[in-house]
Amino acid sequence: MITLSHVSKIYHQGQPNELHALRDLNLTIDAEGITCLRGASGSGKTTLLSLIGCLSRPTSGRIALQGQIISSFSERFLTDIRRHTFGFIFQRFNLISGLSVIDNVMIPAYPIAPDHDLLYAKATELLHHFGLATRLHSRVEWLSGGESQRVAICRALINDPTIIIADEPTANLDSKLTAGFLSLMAELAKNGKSIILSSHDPGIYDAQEINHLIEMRDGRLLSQT
Amino acid sequence: MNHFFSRQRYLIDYTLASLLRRKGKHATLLLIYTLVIALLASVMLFTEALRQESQLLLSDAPEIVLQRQIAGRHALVPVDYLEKIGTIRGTHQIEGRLWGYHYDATIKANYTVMASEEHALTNSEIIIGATLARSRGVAVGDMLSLSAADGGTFVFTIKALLPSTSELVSSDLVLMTPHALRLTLGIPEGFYTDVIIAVRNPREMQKVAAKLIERLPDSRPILRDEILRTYEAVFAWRQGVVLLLLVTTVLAFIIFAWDRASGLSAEERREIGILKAVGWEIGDILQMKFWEGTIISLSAFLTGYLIAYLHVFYGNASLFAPVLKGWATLYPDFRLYPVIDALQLTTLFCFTVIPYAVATLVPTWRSAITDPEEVMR
Repeated sequence: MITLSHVSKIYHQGQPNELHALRDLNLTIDAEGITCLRGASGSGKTTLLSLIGCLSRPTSGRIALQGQIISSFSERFLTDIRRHTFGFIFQRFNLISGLSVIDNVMIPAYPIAPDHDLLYAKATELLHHFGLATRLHSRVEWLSGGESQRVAICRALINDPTIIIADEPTANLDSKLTAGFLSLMAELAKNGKSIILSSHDPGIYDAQEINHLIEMRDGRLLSQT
Repeated sequence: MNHFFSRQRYLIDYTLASLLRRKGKHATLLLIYTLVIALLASVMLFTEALRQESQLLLSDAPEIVLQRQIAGRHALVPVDYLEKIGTIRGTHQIEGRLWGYHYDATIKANYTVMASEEHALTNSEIIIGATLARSRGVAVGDMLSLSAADGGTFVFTIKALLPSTSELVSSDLVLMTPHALRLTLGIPEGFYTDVIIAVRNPREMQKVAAKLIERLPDSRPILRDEILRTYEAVFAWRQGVVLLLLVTTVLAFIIFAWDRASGLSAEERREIGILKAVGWEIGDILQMKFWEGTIISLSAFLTGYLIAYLHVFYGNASLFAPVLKGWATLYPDFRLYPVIDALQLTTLFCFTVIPYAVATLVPTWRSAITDPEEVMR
């Protein structure tokens, strides 16, 4: 359960280019299943996801995760939460070029320093599961869009997080790959993962796999179903 | 503890992969860095080795060397000078020395010829320095002919070679009996080249020198400390000249390294954001960058120092030798005895490795403390 109380986010506060990305947002997200944030560009979806995922802090208001207020945590605690609770799938995947597929998948686990053989086996198993068994040692820049996204999913799952955050994950994919992505997310949700994703693609927010829909406009909550 | 090492291993693995990803940038930096260190270390190693050689040379040098001068030129010292010196209080062990130079037209070089009574030589035997043996292509047991002052030629058997631990002292040296030396160099009986004097109390050396001048007005006493200072000044001056020439190179390198190390590209900043987003702490990123800086700077330092070592002690410091040695002073050629000064090594390390490591950490820290949210956009 994620609760946001009177959350606002202002970028470049006090400067000529001040931007109110979120305005006094009150929201409760039931972490079960797949939750989709819907809204046009600039509606505040990405900002909301980054606040939920502890990638940034609100300008005002409180964010609670499983009843614990995390918005006032120090950077170190936020990193710890990020590391163990969230897995991120970014719009442009944000894989680290020049490295192999398996290295990219293992990166989030490096600071935890698990046994190398176990980590390697886990990463290999994930890549096998997502149909990338033959691409383990390929460099990520050689992959197709769909393959890159599946690598990003594997990377998000390597630390076994409870919540997957995906920001516009299908923005760079065609409809076939979008459908494939949704079925992968549905499979993860079935296995107990919570998925929070953002999209302005009807192929996503109208899909039957979506359990909860949150609609946003101009940094405010429009509706929640 | 195991967790710590395991974590460091992961970070180093990532760092190595990161370095390989930007091969061009890092290879250029490493090459220039290595060259700068090789140049600086060459100068330091070479001058230090020369200093060591000179100290070795002077450690056995007499406390006072007395020369006689006529018309400002070095002249032979009559035997009765030794008796006069003996009457000066504070002196002991007064000894006349026989030595001189012999020009060898075959290799166009001057040898230093000295009389020695310590090696049990016969009048037809000599001991020579290693460089001289190499130049003339002779070995122990071979014959070496030297032309005499009266136009004749003396043929000597080489009894031994002088040890090569310090060729600066012995490279061009020829040792023979006093009799053979007098015949070869034309020094008449009753005369010496100079006189060496030991002083009972080293603190009275200046006083003894003053008395020598008073008693023997045509003499010039040379103190060991004066020679030491002269050597020091010569080497320090030469080192200074070369270091001055290198200053521009070093400055150019500092600007280059600072630019390379401190200016994070947009791609590097994005990478830091990704790492933070996927769960790396600021400390993890700083440690990774620390390893990156350490690997580059330490590789450059060790490679540069090794190149300098080989250049100086195996390549005869061919790049600096004309400036630092002064060919006329130490001709013929010689090999330096390898010596590494810990203080110099530490200084070079502190001035080259640490600034680079710091230069890489500061901008990374500045990037790492910002929210990783940027990667979402």
